[in-house]
Amino acid sequence: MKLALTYALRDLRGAISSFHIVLLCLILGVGTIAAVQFASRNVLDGVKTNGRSLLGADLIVRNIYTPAPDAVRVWFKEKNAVLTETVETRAMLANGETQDNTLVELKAVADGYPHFGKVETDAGGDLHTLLTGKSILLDPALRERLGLEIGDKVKLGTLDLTVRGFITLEPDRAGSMRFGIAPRAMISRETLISSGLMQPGSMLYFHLRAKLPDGTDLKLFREELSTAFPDATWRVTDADNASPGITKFVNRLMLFLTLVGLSALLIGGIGIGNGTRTHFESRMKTIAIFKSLGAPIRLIEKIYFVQVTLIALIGTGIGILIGSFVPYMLTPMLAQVLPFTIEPHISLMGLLVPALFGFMTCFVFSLWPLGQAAATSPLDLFRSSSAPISGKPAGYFRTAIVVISVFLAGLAVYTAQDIRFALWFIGGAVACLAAFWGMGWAISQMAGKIKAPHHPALRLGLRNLYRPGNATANTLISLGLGLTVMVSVTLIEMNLSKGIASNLPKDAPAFFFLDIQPDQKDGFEKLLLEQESANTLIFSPNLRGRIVNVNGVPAAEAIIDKEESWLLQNDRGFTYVRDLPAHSEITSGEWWPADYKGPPLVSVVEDVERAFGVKPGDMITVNILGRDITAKIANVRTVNWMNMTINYAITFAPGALEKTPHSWLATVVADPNAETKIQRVLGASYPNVSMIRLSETIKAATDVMNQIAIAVRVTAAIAILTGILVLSGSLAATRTQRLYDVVVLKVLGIRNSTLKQSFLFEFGLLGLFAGVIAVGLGSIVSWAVMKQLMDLGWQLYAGPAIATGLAGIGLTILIGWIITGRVLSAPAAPHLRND
Amino acid sequence: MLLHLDNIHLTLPGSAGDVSILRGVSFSLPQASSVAIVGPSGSGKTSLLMICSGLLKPTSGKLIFKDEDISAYSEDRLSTLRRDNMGIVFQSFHLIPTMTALENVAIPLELAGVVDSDARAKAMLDRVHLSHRLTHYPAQLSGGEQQRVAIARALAMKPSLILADEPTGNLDQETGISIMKLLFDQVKAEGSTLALITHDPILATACDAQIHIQDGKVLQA
Repeated sequence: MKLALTYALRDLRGAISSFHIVLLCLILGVGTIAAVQFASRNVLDGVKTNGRSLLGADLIVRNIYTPAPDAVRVWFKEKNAVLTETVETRAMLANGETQDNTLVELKAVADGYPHFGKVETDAGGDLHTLLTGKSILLDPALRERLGLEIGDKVKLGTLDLTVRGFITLEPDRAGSMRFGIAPRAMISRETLISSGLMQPGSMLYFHLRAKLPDGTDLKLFREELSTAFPDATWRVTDADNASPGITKFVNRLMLFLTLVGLSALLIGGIGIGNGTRTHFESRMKTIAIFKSLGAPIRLIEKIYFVQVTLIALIGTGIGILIGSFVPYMLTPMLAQVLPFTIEPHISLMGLLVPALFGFMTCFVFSLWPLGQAAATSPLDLFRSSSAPISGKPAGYFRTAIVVISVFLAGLAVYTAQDIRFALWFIGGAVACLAAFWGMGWAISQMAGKIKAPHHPALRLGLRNLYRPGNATANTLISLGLGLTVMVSVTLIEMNLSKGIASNLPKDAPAFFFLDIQPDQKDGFEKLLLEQESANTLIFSPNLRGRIVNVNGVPAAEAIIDKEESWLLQNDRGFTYVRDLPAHSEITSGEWWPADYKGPPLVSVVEDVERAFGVKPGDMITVNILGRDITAKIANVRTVNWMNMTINYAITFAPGALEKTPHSWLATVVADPNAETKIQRVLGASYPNVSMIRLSETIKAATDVMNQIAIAVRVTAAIAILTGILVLSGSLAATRTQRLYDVVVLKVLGIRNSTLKQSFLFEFGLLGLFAGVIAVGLGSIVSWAVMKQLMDLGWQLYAGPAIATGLAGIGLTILIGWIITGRVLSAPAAPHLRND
Repeated sequence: MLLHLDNIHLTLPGSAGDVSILRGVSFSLPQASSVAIVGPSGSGKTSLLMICSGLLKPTSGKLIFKDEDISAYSEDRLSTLRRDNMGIVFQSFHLIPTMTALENVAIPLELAGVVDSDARAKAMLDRVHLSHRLTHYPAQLSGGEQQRVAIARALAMKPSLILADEPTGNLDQETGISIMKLLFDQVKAEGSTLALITHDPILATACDAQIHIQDGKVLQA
């Protein structure tokens, strides 16, 4: 091996420049993956190390509607736990003066909160002192939204409260309820009790927060808790997994960006293959000399394997180095959105994943030309010129390529939290590669078969597409894949940001009203319908509960599609209804008659059917307010959730739930201009009713999407940049041949303008094909992501898609011109003399 | 007898069908002799030399080297045989451009695992009067100097068989004479056998024997 290393290094003298494109492709791909891995793992590690303050406790027992029973508190105290309790709910908060109101996520805290970390306000001082009396602390966003300052009066439920300060840090915000749907408002537990918001059936989340003795094994403690209370329906969260929301979000984003980075690496792989091929072609004479001097083929293989390894080492190393700087650059930005400080550091997995991806990609794409080169016949030394490397490499090279490819795909799947998504992605990437390669091959074949046009420029351009060593397939693959990623990302982003808002049906509600008490229903209806433009008011009974078992099997065991496990993760909403809800369609079974009065029946959506593999006739048991209700599935229906009208995953037929205490949920359609007034009037009369404005919710979702889109676009741009590099490399490889052609054609009297036109025609045609295929494939990919993966609506936004395609044409012409245009101005004489 | 070719046939596939290059060639190369292989272009001289070196396998026939039939040797075994017993000199020198003169000459010694490969390579370069060019790359040497490096490399392992394909074809007359002197001196000094392809009748006459090839057949040996 020492000899191989010596020769490999000697052979690289002055040849490192032929690896520029290979190195750049590796650096870009590996750098992207490394940056994503390091940044994401830093956030995830931050979640772990800050678990206690993110949760504000060691362990939280969450109950809905009612607090944890006394027996639990006693049990905890026997374990020497220190307890405190918070209550969270949604509520409407109004400016006491202007009556402008908005939905807030309300948190009522008791002494001892938080066990870990510290809530900070701009007013300073102790949290509980600030919350004494009729006081409230607010999210700074409410300062502008409701025009509030410290000392102002606000209305919450039936109470008038004074704003004592604005919250600058709530360490357990991400670890509590949802991830920032509405701004936070914080009051004391006593204030909540007197607010009138604690109505029966109101959606109140009681969080019993425990501080456990140091050194407590949380996993063991949880097991003991569930053994002591086997029938409990509460949810338990502990500091080891303090923020499943952030963890899930970061894991998803990491997966997506890693895979986009991997596609950049795959595109770069084409460049790696082209670059190593060019290098090995320039080394064929050396290889032949080695062989003629008696070097065994194994030594030749070792020499060039060492070279590829060295290049992989350098490219991967630099990529990882660059990627490792990214968390340091991102830390100040992340500090603004995360409730904890990130300590930038390099983790072993963050290092290993991009390194393995880099090495394996490099080997997959360079082993074929390496094997071909190693098989070079020394007979070439006796010939005046040598042909390009060709033929099949030895069997063990082919086996190695297959094995490494499988490992590469395996690594992508292994590192993905969502295996189905990763498999889709890998399948899609391979299909795209095959499609572009196939189209490139077909175009070059067709160009050779169609009758050459009379125009000399067109004839020349066409000939360049099919002559030996043409760059047709390479151009399509290198630029086409990057463009496909860009078209997909653009269309997904457009569908997510604009699609939801612009595709809403006419009956899409302006408001969702939550927690309407039974005795408020009639008055609420009357007042609402008196409002200008308010129409299509729909009331739905709203009950919360959990799926307990399916056909007698506990729900957790009955689930067969883990993708649908969200059905079991939280309390679900249930309702009862006489008629088939709007935007629903029965796919199997029958809807119940309007006057149905038999045993309990339910209608389930397709997600439930997929989750448990149930069909009409099967039995499902749900627990609502501590009571198990078993119902027969009457039908399965499909729901278009994008229409935003009220729909429940499990809907009961009339008769089973009417007597169970419940609140009402309502939706109303209204003119956008009337929304503010409706909110103000209803808020003043029904302060306990939470109002969610659809337009605000869509805007909040779009804002989050836009933030993610930046990261995705940067990664997609890297894929395009890699494509440009690859294209540059493959066009540069044709320069010598093009120069020779141009020189000969000049001797034969061709005009420079004709040559320019031929180049323009060639690259324009290639760009056109790359663009058209990219728009087609990108549309399919975005459709698959939206419809199949996210279960959302999709539509083709032709403008941005075509613009991306046109950019592809322009880019191809530009790169073609930059790389090969100079040969047009090359004087013929010196080349003829050299020849 | 150092090398004996017995009824060697060579047929290579071509775009217009198989092409018969050598048709029943038989001859022997005695030890410590010089043999010129002459014939018109396309007669099969180079193919014959390739077969002698084991770089090309005959379609049929026997190749006996030092009383051993090497026709069925594997590629690696032939490589080892070439490394230890043969030195090849090309018309176009074929030095590795990224290696210095010294490194080029040291290759066969290093391949054979010779411990003092650098010292022996230096001595070889000294013999061809290039001790002042040790660290020069091929591009920094004249044609004659490059060919002397190539000869030093070919002779480094003291081969029993030297195969030379028009070694003076790319050189001027004066340089060519000095190169041939080096090769003939080796035959005398080390008792090697030299098989030389040449179009130069004077050079051919200077050899101990001549083999005339035409249309893939030996006309006169």
